[in-house]
Amino acid sequence: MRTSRELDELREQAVALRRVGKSVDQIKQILGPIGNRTLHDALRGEPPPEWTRRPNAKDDLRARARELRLHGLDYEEIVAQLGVSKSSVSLWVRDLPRPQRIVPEECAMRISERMRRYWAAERPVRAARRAAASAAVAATIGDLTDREILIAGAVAYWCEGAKNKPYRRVDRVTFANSDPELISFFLLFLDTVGIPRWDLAFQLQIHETADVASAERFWLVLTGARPGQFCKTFLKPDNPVTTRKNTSDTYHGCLRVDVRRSCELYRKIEGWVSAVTRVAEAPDYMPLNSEEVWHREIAPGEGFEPPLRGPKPLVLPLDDPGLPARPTLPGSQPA
Amino acid sequence: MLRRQGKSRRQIKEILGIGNSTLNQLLRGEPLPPERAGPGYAESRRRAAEGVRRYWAAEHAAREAVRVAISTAAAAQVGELTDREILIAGAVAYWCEGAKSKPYRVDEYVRFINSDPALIRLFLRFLDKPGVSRERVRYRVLIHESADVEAATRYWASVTAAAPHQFNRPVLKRHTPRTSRPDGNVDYHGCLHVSVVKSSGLYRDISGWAHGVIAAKRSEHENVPRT
Repeated sequence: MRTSRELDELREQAVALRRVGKSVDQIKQILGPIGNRTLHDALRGEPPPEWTRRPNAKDDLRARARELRLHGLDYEEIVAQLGVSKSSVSLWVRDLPRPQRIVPEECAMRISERMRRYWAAERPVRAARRAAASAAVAATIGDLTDREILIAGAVAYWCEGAKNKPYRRVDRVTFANSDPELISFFLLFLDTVGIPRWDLAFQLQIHETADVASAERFWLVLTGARPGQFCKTFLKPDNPVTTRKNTSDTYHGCLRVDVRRSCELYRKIEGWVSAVTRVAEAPDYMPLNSEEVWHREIAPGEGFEPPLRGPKPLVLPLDDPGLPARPTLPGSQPA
Repeated sequence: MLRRQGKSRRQIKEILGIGNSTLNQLLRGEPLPPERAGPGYAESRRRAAEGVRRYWAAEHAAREAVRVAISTAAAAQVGELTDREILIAGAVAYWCEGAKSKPYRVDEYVRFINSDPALIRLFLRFLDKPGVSRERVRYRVLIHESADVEAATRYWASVTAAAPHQFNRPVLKRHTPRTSRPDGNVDYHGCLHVSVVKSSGLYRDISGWAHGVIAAKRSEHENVPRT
Protein backbone atom coordinates (compact mmCIF):
# COMPACT_ATOMS: atom_id res chain seq x y z
CA MET A 1 0.00 0.00 0.00
CA ARG A 2 1.51 3.31 -1.09
CA THR A 3 1.14 6.40 1.07
CA SER A 4 -0.68 9.35 -0.44
CA ARG A 5 2.59 11.18 -0.65
CA GLU A 6 4.16 8.44 -2.70
CA LEU A 7 1.12 8.46 -4.94
CA ASP A 8 1.48 12.20 -5.49
CA GLU A 9 5.10 11.75 -6.50
CA LEU A 10 4.11 9.01 -8.86
CA ARG A 11 1.46 11.18 -10.45
CA GLU A 12 3.88 14.06 -10.93
CA GLN A 13 6.41 11.76 -12.57
CA ALA A 14 3.74 10.33 -14.84
CA VAL A 15 2.60 13.75 -15.95
CA ALA A 16 6.19 14.76 -16.59
CA LEU A 17 6.78 11.70 -18.70
CA ARG A 18 3.54 12.34 -20.57
CA ARG A 19 4.64 15.82 -21.39
CA VAL A 20 7.92 14.64 -22.90
CA GLY A 21 5.86 12.48 -25.24
CA LYS A 22 5.79 9.01 -23.68
CA SER A 23 2.89 6.67 -24.27
CA VAL A 24 0.97 5.00 -21.47
CA ASP A 25 2.79 1.74 -22.02
CA GLN A 26 6.16 3.42 -21.88
CA ILE A 27 5.24 5.29 -18.67
CA LYS A 28 4.20 2.00 -17.09
CA GLN A 29 7.48 0.42 -17.98
CA ILE A 30 9.50 3.31 -16.59
CA LEU A 31 7.61 3.75 -13.34
CA GLY A 32 7.21 0.14 -12.47
CA PRO A 33 4.04 -1.33 -11.06
CA ILE A 34 1.24 1.16 -11.28
CA GLY A 35 -2.41 0.45 -11.80
CA ASN A 36 -4.32 1.58 -14.88
CA ARG A 37 -6.74 3.49 -12.81
CA THR A 38 -4.09 5.41 -10.86
CA LEU A 39 -2.29 6.29 -14.03
CA HIS A 40 -5.39 7.37 -15.90
CA ASP A 41 -6.49 9.52 -12.94
CA ALA A 42 -3.11 11.16 -12.90
CA LEU A 43 -3.06 11.82 -16.62
CA ARG A 44 -6.57 13.13 -16.85
CA GLY A 45 -6.52 16.43 -18.71
CA GLU A 46 -3.10 15.84 -20.24
CA PRO A 47 -3.46 15.51 -24.03
CA PRO A 48 -1.74 12.41 -25.46
CA PRO A 49 1.22 13.06 -27.73
CA GLU A 50 0.35 13.08 -31.40
CA TRP A 51 2.44 10.06 -32.37
CA THR A 52 0.46 7.69 -30.16
CA ARG A 53 -2.70 8.26 -32.15
CA ARG A 54 -1.57 6.37 -35.29
CA PRO A 55 1.58 4.61 -34.20
CA ASN A 56 1.87 2.23 -37.17
CA ALA A 57 0.64 4.44 -39.96
CA LYS A 58 2.67 4.25 -43.17
CA ASP A 59 1.38 7.35 -44.83
CA ASP A 60 4.40 7.78 -47.04
CA LEU A 61 4.24 4.20 -48.25
CA ARG A 62 0.54 4.58 -48.81
CA ALA A 63 1.11 7.64 -50.97
CA ARG A 64 3.83 5.82 -52.90
CA ALA A 65 1.54 2.84 -53.43
CA ARG A 66 -1.21 5.01 -54.82
CA GLU A 67 1.24 6.70 -57.10
CA LEU A 68 2.52 3.35 -58.40
CA ARG A 69 -1.01 2.10 -58.86
CA LEU A 70 -1.80 5.11 -61.00
CA HIS A 71 1.18 4.13 -63.13
CA GLY A 72 -0.55 0.86 -63.87
CA LEU A 73 1.32 -1.56 -61.61
CA ASP A 74 -0.53 -4.52 -60.15
CA TYR A 75 -0.66 -5.48 -56.49
CA GLU A 76 2.15 -7.99 -56.74
CA GLU A 77 4.50 -5.45 -58.25
CA ILE A 78 3.67 -2.82 -55.63
CA VAL A 79 4.25 -5.38 -52.91
CA ALA A 80 7.60 -6.25 -54.43
CA GLN A 81 8.65 -2.58 -54.59
CA LEU A 82 7.50 -1.37 -51.20
CA GLY A 83 7.84 -4.44 -49.05
CA VAL A 84 4.39 -4.11 -47.49
CA SER A 85 1.72 -6.71 -47.35
CA LYS A 86 -0.65 -7.27 -50.23
CA SER A 87 -3.69 -6.67 -48.07
CA SER A 88 -2.37 -3.23 -47.11
CA VAL A 89 -1.89 -2.37 -50.74
CA SER A 90 -5.39 -3.52 -51.42
CA LEU A 91 -6.80 -1.28 -48.69
CA TRP A 92 -4.84 1.71 -49.91
CA VAL A 93 -5.51 1.58 -53.64
CA ARG A 94 -8.81 -0.19 -54.12
CA ASP A 95 -10.65 3.04 -54.82
CA LEU A 96 -8.38 3.90 -57.75
CA PRO A 97 -9.38 2.88 -61.26
CA ARG A 98 -8.07 -0.55 -62.30
CA PRO A 99 -5.16 -0.34 -64.69
CA GLN A 100 -5.66 -1.46 -68.27
CA ARG A 101 -5.65 -5.23 -68.55
CA ILE A 102 -2.50 -6.69 -70.07
CA VAL A 103 -2.77 -8.15 -73.54
CA PRO A 104 -3.07 -11.95 -73.76
CA GLU A 105 0.35 -12.28 -75.39
CA GLU A 106 1.96 -10.47 -72.49
CA CYS A 107 -0.01 -12.62 -70.10
CA ALA A 108 1.09 -15.84 -71.81
CA MET A 109 4.66 -14.63 -71.84
CA ARG A 110 4.61 -13.96 -68.13
CA ILE A 111 3.11 -17.35 -67.42
CA SER A 112 5.66 -19.15 -69.51
CA GLU A 113 8.42 -17.17 -67.90
CA ARG A 114 7.19 -18.14 -64.45
CA MET A 115 6.86 -21.77 -65.54
CA ARG A 116 10.36 -21.70 -66.89
CA ARG A 117 11.73 -20.31 -63.66
CA TYR A 118 9.74 -22.82 -61.63
CA TRP A 119 10.99 -25.79 -63.60
CA ALA A 120 14.54 -24.54 -63.75
CA ALA A 121 14.56 -24.83 -59.98
CA GLU A 122 12.29 -27.84 -59.67
CA ARG A 123 13.72 -30.13 -62.35
CA PRO A 124 17.09 -30.81 -60.71
CA VAL A 125 15.38 -31.34 -57.37
CA ARG A 126 13.07 -33.95 -58.79
CA ALA A 127 15.80 -35.56 -60.85
CA ALA A 128 17.89 -35.91 -57.70
CA ARG A 129 14.95 -37.42 -55.85
CA ARG A 130 14.36 -39.93 -58.62
CA ALA A 131 18.02 -40.81 -58.83
CA ALA A 132 18.16 -41.28 -55.07
CA ALA A 133 15.16 -43.59 -55.17
CA SER A 134 16.75 -45.71 -57.90
CA ALA A 135 20.13 -45.73 -56.22
CA ALA A 136 18.59 -46.97 -52.99
CA VAL A 137 16.96 -49.83 -54.87
CA ALA A 138 20.17 -50.56 -56.77
CA ALA A 139 22.03 -50.92 -53.49
CA THR A 140 19.73 -53.79 -52.52
CA ILE A 141 21.15 -55.92 -55.36
CA GLY A 142 24.72 -56.04 -54.11
CA ASP A 143 27.34 -58.32 -55.65
CA LEU A 144 26.29 -61.02 -58.06
CA THR A 145 27.22 -64.67 -57.93
CA ASP A 146 28.53 -66.30 -61.07
CA ARG A 147 25.20 -68.00 -61.54
CA GLU A 148 23.36 -64.69 -61.36
CA ILE A 149 25.73 -63.11 -63.85
CA LEU A 150 25.13 -66.05 -66.13
CA ILE A 151 21.36 -65.65 -65.93
CA ALA A 152 21.40 -61.88 -66.34
CA GLY A 153 23.93 -62.01 -69.18
CA ALA A 154 21.98 -64.66 -71.05
CA VAL A 155 18.79 -62.61 -70.77
CA ALA A 156 20.63 -59.49 -71.92
CA TYR A 157 21.99 -61.46 -74.86
CA TRP A 158 18.55 -62.73 -75.74
CA CYS A 159 17.29 -59.17 -75.79
CA GLU A 160 20.16 -57.41 -77.56
CA GLY A 161 22.20 -60.12 -79.24
CA ALA A 162 21.92 -61.75 -82.64
CA LYS A 163 19.61 -64.74 -82.66
CA ASN A 164 18.93 -67.51 -85.10
CA LYS A 165 15.81 -67.03 -87.17
CA PRO A 166 13.69 -69.61 -88.97
CA TYR A 167 15.16 -68.23 -92.17
CA ARG A 168 18.74 -67.75 -90.98
CA ARG A 169 20.77 -69.91 -88.69
CA VAL A 170 24.26 -68.80 -87.77
CA ASP A 171 24.88 -69.91 -84.16
CA ARG A 172 27.29 -67.10 -83.45
CA VAL A 173 27.50 -64.74 -80.49
CA THR A 174 27.13 -61.13 -81.56
CA PHE A 175 26.00 -58.45 -79.16
CA ALA A 176 25.42 -54.82 -80.06
CA ASN A 177 24.49 -51.96 -77.78
CA SER A 178 24.94 -48.27 -77.24
CA ASP A 179 24.73 -48.43 -73.45
CA PRO A 180 28.28 -48.52 -72.05
CA GLU A 181 27.08 -50.09 -68.81
CA LEU A 182 25.39 -52.90 -70.65
CA ILE A 183 28.46 -53.52 -72.81
CA SER A 184 30.62 -53.67 -69.68
CA PHE A 185 28.20 -56.08 -68.13
CA PHE A 186 28.24 -58.28 -71.21
CA LEU A 187 32.03 -58.38 -71.06
CA LEU A 188 31.77 -59.39 -67.41
CA PHE A 189 29.39 -62.14 -68.48
CA LEU A 190 31.88 -63.35 -71.11
CA ASP A 191 34.61 -63.36 -68.47
CA THR A 192 32.39 -65.35 -66.18
CA VAL A 193 31.63 -68.01 -68.75
CA GLY A 194 35.34 -68.26 -69.54
CA ILE A 195 35.72 -66.50 -72.87
CA PRO A 196 39.20 -65.00 -73.16
CA ARG A 197 39.23 -61.33 -74.10
CA TRP A 198 41.42 -61.97 -77.13
CA ASP A 199 38.60 -63.93 -78.72
CA LEU A 200 36.55 -60.76 -79.01
CA ALA A 201 36.27 -58.48 -82.00
CA PHE A 202 34.64 -55.08 -81.82
CA GLN A 203 33.09 -52.76 -84.31
CA LEU A 204 31.89 -49.25 -83.69
CA GLN A 205 28.76 -48.25 -85.57
CA ILE A 206 28.13 -44.53 -85.49
CA HIS A 207 26.52 -41.68 -87.34
CA GLU A 208 28.92 -39.97 -89.66
CA THR A 209 28.06 -36.57 -88.19
CA ALA A 210 29.18 -37.60 -84.69
CA ASP A 211 32.66 -37.23 -83.26
CA VAL A 212 33.96 -40.55 -84.51
CA ALA A 213 37.51 -40.32 -83.20
CA SER A 214 36.50 -39.57 -79.64
CA ALA A 215 33.87 -42.31 -79.73
CA GLU A 216 36.53 -44.76 -80.87
CA ARG A 217 38.72 -43.72 -77.94
CA PHE A 218 35.76 -43.98 -75.60
CA TRP A 219 35.04 -47.61 -76.47
CA LEU A 220 38.70 -48.52 -76.58
CA VAL A 221 39.08 -47.33 -73.01
CA LEU A 222 35.81 -48.89 -71.88
CA THR A 223 36.53 -52.34 -73.28
CA GLY A 224 40.25 -52.28 -72.50
CA ALA A 225 40.81 -53.99 -75.84
CA ARG A 226 43.77 -53.61 -78.15
CA PRO A 227 43.18 -51.31 -81.14
CA GLY A 228 43.72 -54.31 -83.40
CA GLN A 229 40.57 -55.90 -82.05
CA PHE A 230 38.49 -53.11 -83.49
CA CYS A 231 37.29 -53.56 -87.05
CA LYS A 232 36.86 -50.64 -89.33
CA THR A 233 34.25 -48.27 -87.92
CA PHE A 234 30.92 -48.38 -89.69
CA LEU A 235 29.65 -44.91 -90.52
CA LYS A 236 25.92 -44.51 -90.86
CA PRO A 237 25.01 -41.99 -93.55
CA ASP A 238 23.14 -39.09 -92.07
CA ASN A 239 19.50 -38.81 -93.04
CA PRO A 240 18.66 -35.11 -93.02
CA VAL A 241 14.93 -35.82 -92.85
CA THR A 242 14.86 -37.48 -89.44
CA THR A 243 15.41 -35.44 -86.33
CA ARG A 244 17.66 -37.37 -84.03
CA LYS A 245 17.57 -36.53 -80.36
CA ASN A 246 20.43 -38.71 -79.24
CA THR A 247 23.08 -36.26 -80.35
CA SER A 248 24.51 -34.93 -77.09
CA ASP A 249 28.09 -35.61 -76.04
CA THR A 250 26.89 -38.79 -74.34
CA TYR A 251 26.30 -40.27 -77.79
CA HIS A 252 29.08 -42.69 -78.63
CA GLY A 253 27.35 -44.80 -81.24
CA CYS A 254 26.76 -48.52 -80.93
CA LEU A 255 29.39 -51.10 -80.15
CA ARG A 256 29.15 -54.51 -81.71
CA VAL A 257 30.89 -57.33 -79.87
CA ASP A 258 31.63 -60.49 -81.80
CA VAL A 259 32.91 -63.62 -80.10
CA ARG A 260 35.09 -65.79 -82.28
CA ARG A 261 34.49 -69.55 -82.38
CA SER A 262 31.30 -68.98 -80.43
CA CYS A 263 29.04 -71.67 -81.83
CA GLU A 264 29.04 -73.61 -78.58
CA LEU A 265 28.56 -70.51 -76.45
CA TYR A 266 25.59 -69.50 -78.57
CA ARG A 267 23.93 -72.85 -77.98
CA LYS A 268 24.60 -72.63 -74.27
CA ILE A 269 23.09 -69.17 -74.10
CA GLU A 270 20.06 -70.56 -75.85
CA GLY A 271 19.81 -73.22 -73.15
CA TRP A 272 20.28 -70.79 -70.27
CA VAL A 273 17.63 -68.50 -71.65
CA SER A 274 15.20 -71.34 -72.13
CA ALA A 275 15.72 -72.26 -68.48
CA VAL A 276 15.02 -68.68 -67.45
CA THR A 277 11.91 -68.26 -69.57
CA ARG A 278 10.66 -71.60 -68.34
CA VAL A 279 9.76 -69.97 -65.01
CA ALA A 280 6.96 -68.24 -66.86
CA GLU A 281 5.69 -71.57 -68.13
CA ALA A 282 5.30 -73.13 -64.70
CA PRO A 283 1.85 -74.69 -64.18
CA ASP A 284 0.90 -72.26 -61.44
CA TYR A 285 1.42 -69.48 -63.90
CA MET A 286 -1.11 -70.63 -66.48
CA PRO A 287 -4.16 -69.56 -64.55
CA LEU A 288 -6.92 -69.72 -67.06
CA ASN A 289 -7.93 -70.96 -70.38
CA SER A 290 -7.54 -67.81 -72.35
CA GLU A 291 -9.67 -69.04 -75.23
CA GLU A 292 -12.53 -69.24 -72.79
CA VAL A 293 -11.85 -65.78 -71.45
CA TRP A 294 -11.65 -64.38 -74.91
CA HIS A 295 -15.10 -65.57 -75.85
CA ARG A 296 -16.73 -64.67 -72.56
CA GLU A 297 -19.41 -62.02 -72.80
CA ILE A 298 -18.31 -58.82 -71.17
CA ALA A 299 -20.82 -57.86 -68.54
CA PRO A 300 -22.02 -54.25 -68.54
CA GLY A 301 -19.76 -52.19 -66.36
CA GLU A 302 -16.82 -54.52 -66.86
CA GLY A 303 -13.91 -53.41 -68.91
CA PHE A 304 -14.00 -50.05 -70.57
CA GLU A 305 -17.67 -50.21 -71.34
CA PRO A 306 -19.75 -47.79 -69.27
CA PRO A 307 -22.38 -49.38 -67.02
CA LEU A 308 -25.81 -49.66 -68.52
CA ARG A 309 -28.21 -47.03 -67.29
CA GLY A 310 -31.66 -48.36 -67.79
CA PRO A 311 -34.74 -46.74 -66.29
CA LYS A 312 -35.00 -47.44 -62.60
CA PRO A 313 -37.83 -49.80 -61.72
CA LEU A 314 -40.52 -47.91 -59.93
CA VAL A 315 -41.86 -50.86 -58.05
CA LEU A 316 -39.66 -53.73 -57.05
CA PRO A 317 -41.24 -57.04 -57.96
CA LEU A 318 -41.73 -58.71 -54.62
CA ASP A 319 -42.00 -62.44 -54.49
CA ASP A 320 -43.17 -62.71 -58.04
CA PRO A 321 -43.58 -66.47 -58.53
CA GLY A 322 -42.79 -65.99 -62.18
CA LEU A 323 -39.24 -64.78 -61.45
CA PRO A 324 -36.45 -67.23 -60.81
CA ALA A 325 -35.11 -67.30 -57.27
CA ARG A 326 -32.36 -64.77 -56.66
CA PRO A 327 -28.96 -66.34 -56.32
CA THR A 328 -27.61 -65.86 -52.83
CA LEU A 329 -24.17 -64.37 -52.70
CA PRO A 330 -21.60 -66.46 -50.90
CA GLY A 331 -21.30 -65.24 -47.34
CA SER A 332 -24.65 -63.49 -47.23
CA GLN A 333 -27.39 -64.92 -45.06
CA PRO A 334 -30.45 -66.09 -46.89
CA ALA A 335 -33.51 -64.20 -45.73
CA MET B 1 34.38 -69.08 -132.58
CA LEU B 2 37.09 -70.29 -130.25
CA ARG B 3 34.48 -72.35 -128.44
CA ARG B 4 33.54 -73.95 -131.75
CA GLN B 5 37.18 -74.81 -132.21
CA GLY B 6 36.88 -76.86 -129.02
CA LYS B 7 38.73 -74.48 -126.68
CA SER B 8 37.87 -74.52 -122.99
CA ARG B 9 36.59 -71.45 -121.14
CA ARG B 10 39.91 -70.88 -119.48
CA GLN B 11 41.72 -70.94 -122.77
CA ILE B 12 39.28 -68.50 -124.32
CA LYS B 13 39.68 -66.12 -121.40
CA GLU B 14 43.45 -66.21 -121.69
CA ILE B 15 43.39 -65.64 -125.41
CA LEU B 16 40.93 -62.79 -125.33
CA GLY B 17 41.90 -61.36 -121.95
CA ILE B 18 38.30 -61.05 -120.78
CA GLY B 19 36.50 -61.90 -117.55
CA ASN B 20 34.02 -64.58 -116.66
CA SER B 21 30.92 -62.45 -116.94
CA THR B 22 31.86 -61.03 -120.31
CA LEU B 23 32.51 -64.50 -121.55
CA ASN B 24 29.13 -65.66 -120.28
CA GLN B 25 27.47 -62.93 -122.24
CA LEU B 26 29.35 -63.80 -125.37
CA LEU B 27 28.64 -67.51 -125.13
CA ARG B 28 24.95 -67.13 -124.38
CA GLY B 29 22.99 -69.29 -126.79
CA GLU B 30 26.04 -71.30 -127.91
CA PRO B 31 25.66 -75.05 -127.55
CA LEU B 32 27.50 -76.68 -124.62
CA PRO B 33 30.95 -78.11 -125.27
CA PRO B 34 30.91 -81.77 -126.23
CA GLU B 35 32.19 -83.06 -122.87
CA ARG B 36 29.18 -81.47 -121.07
CA ALA B 37 26.61 -82.04 -123.74
CA GLY B 38 26.20 -85.83 -123.45
CA PRO B 39 23.83 -87.70 -121.12
CA GLY B 40 26.74 -88.87 -118.93
CA TYR B 41 27.36 -85.37 -117.64
CA ALA B 42 23.77 -84.82 -116.54
CA GLU B 43 23.81 -88.21 -114.87
CA SER B 44 26.95 -87.46 -112.89
CA ARG B 45 25.51 -84.14 -111.75
CA ARG B 46 22.36 -85.85 -110.60
CA ARG B 47 24.35 -88.44 -108.67
CA ALA B 48 26.50 -85.83 -107.01
CA ALA B 49 23.39 -83.91 -105.92
CA GLU B 50 21.87 -87.10 -104.60
CA GLY B 51 25.02 -87.87 -102.62
CA VAL B 52 25.02 -84.43 -101.05
CA ARG B 53 21.35 -84.75 -100.17
CA ARG B 54 21.92 -88.12 -98.51
CA TYR B 55 24.94 -86.83 -96.63
CA TRP B 56 23.01 -83.95 -95.19
CA ALA B 57 19.95 -86.05 -94.40
CA ALA B 58 22.12 -87.99 -91.97
CA GLU B 59 24.44 -85.22 -90.95
CA HIS B 60 21.77 -82.64 -90.32
CA ALA B 61 20.02 -84.81 -87.77
CA ALA B 62 23.32 -85.63 -86.06
CA ARG B 63 24.35 -81.98 -85.87
CA GLU B 64 20.93 -80.96 -84.67
CA ALA B 65 21.20 -83.54 -81.90
CA VAL B 66 24.56 -82.12 -80.80
CA ARG B 67 23.13 -78.65 -80.84
CA VAL B 68 20.09 -79.61 -78.81
CA ALA B 69 22.25 -81.59 -76.39
CA ILE B 70 24.39 -78.55 -75.64
CA SER B 71 21.33 -76.34 -75.12
CA THR B 72 19.59 -78.91 -72.96
CA ALA B 73 22.64 -79.43 -70.80
CA ALA B 74 22.96 -75.66 -70.35
CA ALA B 75 19.28 -75.39 -69.43
CA ALA B 76 19.64 -78.20 -66.92
CA GLN B 77 22.63 -76.45 -65.43
CA VAL B 78 20.49 -73.42 -64.60
CA GLY B 79 17.49 -75.38 -63.36
CA GLU B 80 15.00 -73.61 -61.12
CA LEU B 81 15.24 -69.89 -60.47
CA THR B 82 14.92 -68.22 -57.10
CA ASP B 83 12.82 -65.10 -56.64
CA ARG B 84 15.93 -62.95 -56.67
CA GLU B 85 17.06 -64.48 -59.93
CA ILE B 86 13.68 -63.86 -61.55
CA LEU B 87 13.92 -60.28 -60.38
CA ILE B 88 17.39 -59.94 -61.90
CA ALA B 89 16.37 -61.55 -65.17
CA GLY B 90 13.25 -59.41 -65.49
CA ALA B 91 15.02 -56.16 -64.65
CA VAL B 92 17.76 -56.87 -67.21
CA ALA B 93 15.15 -57.78 -69.82
CA TYR B 94 13.34 -54.53 -69.09
CA TRP B 95 16.53 -52.53 -69.37
CA CYS B 96 17.19 -54.05 -72.76
CA GLU B 97 13.71 -54.01 -74.26
CA GLY B 98 11.65 -51.62 -72.15
CA ALA B 99 11.12 -47.89 -72.48
CA LYS B 100 13.71 -45.84 -70.64
CA SER B 101 13.69 -42.25 -69.54
CA LYS B 102 16.06 -40.15 -71.64
CA PRO B 103 17.74 -36.83 -70.89
CA TYR B 104 15.74 -35.31 -73.74
CA ARG B 105 12.51 -37.03 -72.70
CA VAL B 106 12.10 -37.63 -69.00
CA ASP B 107 9.31 -40.13 -68.85
CA GLU B 108 9.02 -42.72 -66.12
CA TYR B 109 6.42 -45.16 -67.26
CA VAL B 110 6.80 -48.92 -67.51
CA ARG B 111 6.45 -50.09 -71.10
CA PHE B 112 7.87 -53.30 -72.49
CA ILE B 113 7.65 -54.13 -76.17
CA ASN B 114 8.66 -57.40 -77.76
CA SER B 115 7.76 -59.89 -80.42
CA ASP B 116 9.13 -62.87 -78.49
CA PRO B 117 6.34 -64.52 -76.47
CA ALA B 118 8.85 -66.08 -74.07
CA LEU B 119 10.26 -62.68 -73.14
CA ILE B 120 6.77 -61.22 -72.77
CA ARG B 121 5.81 -63.97 -70.38
CA LEU B 122 9.06 -63.64 -68.48
CA PHE B 123 8.36 -59.96 -68.04
CA LEU B 124 4.82 -60.63 -66.80
CA ARG B 125 6.15 -63.21 -64.36
CA PHE B 126 8.70 -60.67 -63.20
CA LEU B 127 5.90 -58.15 -62.58
CA ASP B 128 4.44 -60.55 -60.02
CA LYS B 129 7.56 -60.16 -57.89
CA PRO B 130 7.05 -56.50 -56.96
CA GLY B 131 3.38 -57.38 -56.56
CA VAL B 132 1.97 -55.63 -59.61
CA SER B 133 -1.59 -56.75 -60.07
CA ARG B 134 -2.45 -57.95 -63.54
CA GLU B 135 -5.34 -55.50 -63.47
CA ARG B 136 -2.82 -52.71 -63.85
CA VAL B 137 -1.36 -54.14 -67.04
CA ARG B 138 -2.52 -53.01 -70.48
CA TYR B 139 -1.65 -54.54 -73.81
CA ARG B 140 -1.49 -53.25 -77.32
CA VAL B 141 -0.67 -55.14 -80.49
CA LEU B 142 1.69 -53.42 -82.90
CA ILE B 143 1.51 -55.05 -86.28
CA HIS B 144 1.72 -54.54 -90.01
CA GLU B 145 -1.60 -53.61 -91.51
CA SER B 146 -1.30 -56.41 -94.03
CA ALA B 147 -1.22 -59.07 -91.30
CA ASP B 148 -4.18 -60.69 -89.59
CA VAL B 149 -4.74 -58.30 -86.69
CA GLU B 150 -7.58 -60.24 -85.14
CA ALA B 151 -5.64 -63.50 -85.10
CA ALA B 152 -2.58 -61.75 -83.68
CA THR B 153 -4.65 -60.25 -80.87
CA ARG B 154 -6.04 -63.69 -80.06
CA TYR B 155 -2.53 -65.08 -80.13
CA TRP B 156 -1.21 -62.51 -77.66
CA ALA B 157 -4.25 -62.97 -75.48
CA SER B 158 -3.39 -66.63 -75.22
CA VAL B 159 0.25 -65.81 -74.47
CA THR B 160 -0.56 -63.34 -71.73
CA ALA B 161 -3.80 -64.87 -70.45
CA ALA B 162 -5.22 -61.36 -70.49
CA ALA B 163 -8.85 -60.38 -70.64
CA PRO B 164 -10.08 -58.67 -73.82
CA HIS B 165 -10.73 -55.38 -72.07
CA GLN B 166 -7.03 -55.10 -71.25
CA PHE B 167 -6.19 -54.76 -74.93
CA ASN B 168 -6.01 -51.25 -76.24
CA ARG B 169 -6.58 -50.38 -79.85
CA PRO B 170 -3.87 -52.00 -81.99
CA VAL B 171 -1.32 -49.89 -83.81
CA LEU B 172 -1.12 -50.70 -87.50
CA LYS B 173 2.12 -50.13 -89.31
CA ARG B 174 1.71 -48.99 -92.85
CA HIS B 175 2.86 -51.75 -95.14
CA THR B 176 5.58 -50.70 -97.54
CA PRO B 177 6.06 -53.53 -99.99
CA ARG B 178 9.41 -52.10 -101.03
CA THR B 179 11.12 -53.82 -98.13
CA SER B 180 11.39 -57.55 -98.30
CA ARG B 181 10.24 -58.89 -94.98
CA PRO B 182 11.17 -62.43 -94.10
CA ASP B 183 8.79 -62.06 -91.15
CA GLY B 184 5.80 -62.19 -93.46
CA ASN B 185 5.23 -65.83 -92.61
CA VAL B 186 2.60 -67.54 -90.51
CA ASP B 187 4.66 -67.08 -87.36
CA TYR B 188 4.37 -63.33 -87.56
CA HIS B 189 2.21 -61.96 -84.77
CA GLY B 190 3.60 -58.46 -84.60
CA CYS B 191 4.87 -56.97 -81.36
CA LEU B 192 3.14 -56.74 -78.05
CA HIS B 193 3.29 -53.51 -76.10
CA VAL B 194 2.88 -54.18 -72.38
CA SER B 195 2.35 -51.16 -70.18
CA VAL B 196 1.60 -50.76 -66.51
CA VAL B 197 -0.66 -47.97 -65.37
CA LYS B 198 0.49 -45.72 -62.52
CA SER B 199 3.97 -47.08 -62.78
CA SER B 200 6.47 -44.29 -62.09
CA GLY B 201 7.38 -45.84 -58.74
CA LEU B 202 7.75 -49.23 -60.38
CA TYR B 203 9.88 -47.67 -63.10
CA ARG B 204 12.30 -46.32 -60.50
CA ASP B 205 12.46 -49.72 -58.83
CA ILE B 206 13.16 -51.49 -62.12
CA SER B 207 15.75 -48.93 -63.09
CA GLY B 208 17.39 -49.41 -59.69
CA TRP B 209 17.47 -53.19 -59.98
CA ALA B 210 18.75 -53.05 -63.54
CA HIS B 211 21.52 -50.63 -62.64
CA GLY B 212 22.30 -52.71 -59.58
CA VAL B 213 22.75 -55.74 -61.82
CA ILE B 214 24.65 -54.31 -64.74
CA ALA B 215 26.97 -52.26 -62.56
CA ALA B 216 27.49 -55.10 -60.07
CA LYS B 217 30.77 -56.75 -59.26
CA ARG B 218 31.34 -60.45 -59.19
CA SER B 219 30.87 -61.84 -55.76
CA GLU B 220 34.06 -63.23 -54.31
CA HIS B 221 32.45 -65.49 -51.76
CA GLU B 222 30.30 -67.89 -53.62
CA ASN B 223 31.91 -69.94 -56.31
CA VAL B 224 29.68 -71.59 -58.79
CA PRO B 225 31.52 -73.98 -61.10
CA ARG B 226 32.55 -72.25 -64.28
CA THR B 227 31.16 -73.43 -67.51
